[in-house]
Amino acid sequence: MVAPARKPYTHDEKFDALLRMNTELLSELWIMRDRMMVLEHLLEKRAGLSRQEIDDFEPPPELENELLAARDALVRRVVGAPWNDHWTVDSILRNKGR
Amino acid sequence: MMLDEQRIDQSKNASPTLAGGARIQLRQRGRAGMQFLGALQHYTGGELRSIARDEFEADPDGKDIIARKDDPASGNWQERIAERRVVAERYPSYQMERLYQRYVAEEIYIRGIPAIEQRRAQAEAFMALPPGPRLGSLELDPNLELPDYYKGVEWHLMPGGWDGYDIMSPMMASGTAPLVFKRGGWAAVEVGDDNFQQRLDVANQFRTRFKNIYEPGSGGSHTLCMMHRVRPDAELHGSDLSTYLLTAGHIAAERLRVPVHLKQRDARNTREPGDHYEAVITYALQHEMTVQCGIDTFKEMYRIMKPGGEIVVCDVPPFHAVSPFQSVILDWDTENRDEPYFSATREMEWADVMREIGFTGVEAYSIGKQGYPYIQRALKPHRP
Repeated sequence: MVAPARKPYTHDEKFDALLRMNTELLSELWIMRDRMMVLEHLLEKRAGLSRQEIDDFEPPPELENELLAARDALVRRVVGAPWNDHWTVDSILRNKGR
Repeated sequence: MMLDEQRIDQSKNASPTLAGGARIQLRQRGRAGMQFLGALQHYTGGELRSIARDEFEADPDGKDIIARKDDPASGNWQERIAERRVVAERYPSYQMERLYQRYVAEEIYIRGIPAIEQRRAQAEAFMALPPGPRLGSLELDPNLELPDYYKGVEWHLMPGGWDGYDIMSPMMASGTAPLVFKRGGWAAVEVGDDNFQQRLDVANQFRTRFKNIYEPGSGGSHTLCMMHRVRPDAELHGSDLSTYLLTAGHIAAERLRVPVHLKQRDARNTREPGDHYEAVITYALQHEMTVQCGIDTFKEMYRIMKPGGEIVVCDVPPFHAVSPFQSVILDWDTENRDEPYFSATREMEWADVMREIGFTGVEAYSIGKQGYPYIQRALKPHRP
């Protein structure tokens, strides 16, 4: 079994752990972006949907509402994480999470 | 098993010395994940390390260490490097650059293995010999006793070591090498350096003509296949301890149609005839042996070489040949990349060992950035 690092590189185990988590997230973000760019490329080649069309697309009201709700929920979940330290069944249902 | 030829890419972009130039197209997640590691290492091993180096050199204690110009032939290298490491570790740039270096070193296996598993059928086909007559040969020795210094080492954080994973060769050829290593920034390889070109440069260090060449620790046959490029008429012979590397190296050479003759041997006792080879090359082997094993290997190479024959050795530079900051970077691999003999073998100048053994015309010099690749070149005299 490959042995773990003998000591934290930043002199603090918690900080090392946070940096590893952050790097994992950055990696996931890149993998998603890569996939999105591949999808756009394939859509353009196979379905004739240009990247310009996606750039210029104005979401219709029903999609805009969906995007707004998703965006707000993401911000609340990430930025509010340190303060979302207590919950009830109602709050979980209302917030779809913490 | 059916071979999915379309997914085994023999394109000109694939390194011709890695697994015979073949490579398997990974799925999107595997490919993008490995490319991310390449980008992370490129930035941290380049810009971030450069900041760390500047901060070390601007630090009052760092300036004092640089101004001291320690005598390379005396003093305790571990004490010297410990003092230098204290200065480097003061700065978040160094701390984080090393954390990311470790992270990439772990992840090339942690995400490389699942990525190649998704292509297992192609990977297994990749590990098969190509059709047609054999040009080279492979002689395995199931009774060869592995030396203690070698047993249980998971080199470079590779789970199970060289023989630990049956499709490691296609994993390296399809993911790690083209998507991560190709951008440099790992171990002694600087950002922007091309590992393929470095190997070619090393192969070109011979000054003599020769009709045969021997490489102890020939691994995946990369160096011997490169020798074939620069000396196409020379007979190529190699040996290694690892069954897996020898097998993968045999397949790679056959795929490239390069006649390479491989035997499973301990480099200290090759069982080759004396005064036989006109050239010897070693590539990144010394640092994977104990100091005594390295000395004994040179003695064995001297024995099997013909008088007048030439030896070229390439490895990571010794500590005396690099800056104080770079010595900290190199020493780090010992504890952090499962390279147990890295530092001990970098504390000495192997050119001195070669002279003591009897080689003449011994030279030691660097042909790259930050001292790597570092070359020792010598001749076996006609009269000892």
